[in-house]
Amino acid sequence: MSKLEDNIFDKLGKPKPQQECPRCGTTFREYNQTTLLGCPVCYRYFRELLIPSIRKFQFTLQHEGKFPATTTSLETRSRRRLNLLRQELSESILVENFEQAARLRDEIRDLEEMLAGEEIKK
Amino acid sequence: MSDRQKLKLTSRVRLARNIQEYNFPHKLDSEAARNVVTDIENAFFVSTALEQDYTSRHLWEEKGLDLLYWFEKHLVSNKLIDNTDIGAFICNKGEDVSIMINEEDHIRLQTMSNSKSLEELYDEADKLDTVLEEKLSWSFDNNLGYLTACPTNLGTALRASVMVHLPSLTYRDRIGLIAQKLAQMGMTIRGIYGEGSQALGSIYQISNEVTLGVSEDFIIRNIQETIDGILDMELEEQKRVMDVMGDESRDSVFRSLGILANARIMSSQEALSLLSLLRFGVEADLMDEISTRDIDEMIIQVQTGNLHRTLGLTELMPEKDRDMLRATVLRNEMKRRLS
Repeated sequence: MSKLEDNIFDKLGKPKPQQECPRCGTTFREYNQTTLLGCPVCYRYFRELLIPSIRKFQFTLQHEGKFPATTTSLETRSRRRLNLLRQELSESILVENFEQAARLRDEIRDLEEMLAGEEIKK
Repeated sequence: MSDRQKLKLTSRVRLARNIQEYNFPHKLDSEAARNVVTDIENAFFVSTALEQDYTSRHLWEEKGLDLLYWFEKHLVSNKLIDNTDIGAFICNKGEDVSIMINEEDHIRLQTMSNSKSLEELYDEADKLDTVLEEKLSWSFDNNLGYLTACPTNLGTALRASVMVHLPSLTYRDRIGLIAQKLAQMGMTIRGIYGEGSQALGSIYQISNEVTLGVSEDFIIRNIQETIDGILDMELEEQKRVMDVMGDESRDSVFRSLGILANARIMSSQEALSLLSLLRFGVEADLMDEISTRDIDEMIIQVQTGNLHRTLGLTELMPEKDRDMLRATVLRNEMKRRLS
């Protein structure tokens, strides 16, 4: 999401169910009827209204797994690296390579701290 | 083939993707939606190998009966057929990979097989996704993962499913209980043609429901282990059925064989339940003249779209003619495979 869009969202404040998504015109009421959103921006615009309903059928609200290769933001790349490291960590524990596991654990902690810092900055 | 393996018909992996610049399909006018089709074709046909093996078909240029044939082969879904005006699919010659365009999402990429594992199928799907993302930028959010029109597919946007035959568990009325347990584990059990379809011939699809917060690897391992557990339950129940009413079961299996090999008129529903009984006979080692693979082929063959396709018909036959043709095809198949 671009800086410009961020500013627009700040100015708009929290959406109400009858308000339309600025990009595709979908309302939250429409989503409640069809369970379909209209575009990627809906997720951003209706986020606060959506979260309780997403919690009902998904375990958590943090994606794990594949990231698109084309995403180049530092945060995305770090998260991708984090996923990889976590996988390597469980593998090295499985084969009882504890020296490597310790090294991986430290690297994971550093990355997590860095990402938490980014979250606060936001 | 292991006892568990015999109970599996096909395994399938499906990834959903959307292109960032476009609204989701139901919020596009047909011009924009057809541009989506072109963009995806351009991103996909990037090598001669892909060009030679894959064909793109636009639903608005296809005939109704062919659509039925592809639907029965699971290459297109109900929802894609609903979008005839804007829907398309790119499919390989082996008819086991299909990239549906403008279904509920811009892309529903699926790989399927009756012999490969879910891991292998995911790897294939993942490779094709990587080809596409060279030229297309996906709607993606660091927290919510791949963004899909319906939030039930967020995150990995991965659905891994296995089609299984559970005759003894069905007979003993255990499917409801299994469905409840699966729901608690973030999984679901459905009929042969997915969402809302009936469980004909004791054939079910078991798949993951939860897609966000769990990695692809985890989803696949989890579903694989759960399905193995259910298949073991079926094998146990099968033993019980054979212990208590072995003679009656054997009688039903061979009666089905007799009807399939001799009937002159047969509805698709009757064919499916007889073939299901026959399959049970093979699974329980009551007969070895025929394989589960043979039976699965026949299950597809006798469905309406496939029947018409074999004869090269373009108009739908009256129901009675269809039922007579179905009976003839089955008689011939049984003769051929049992001789």
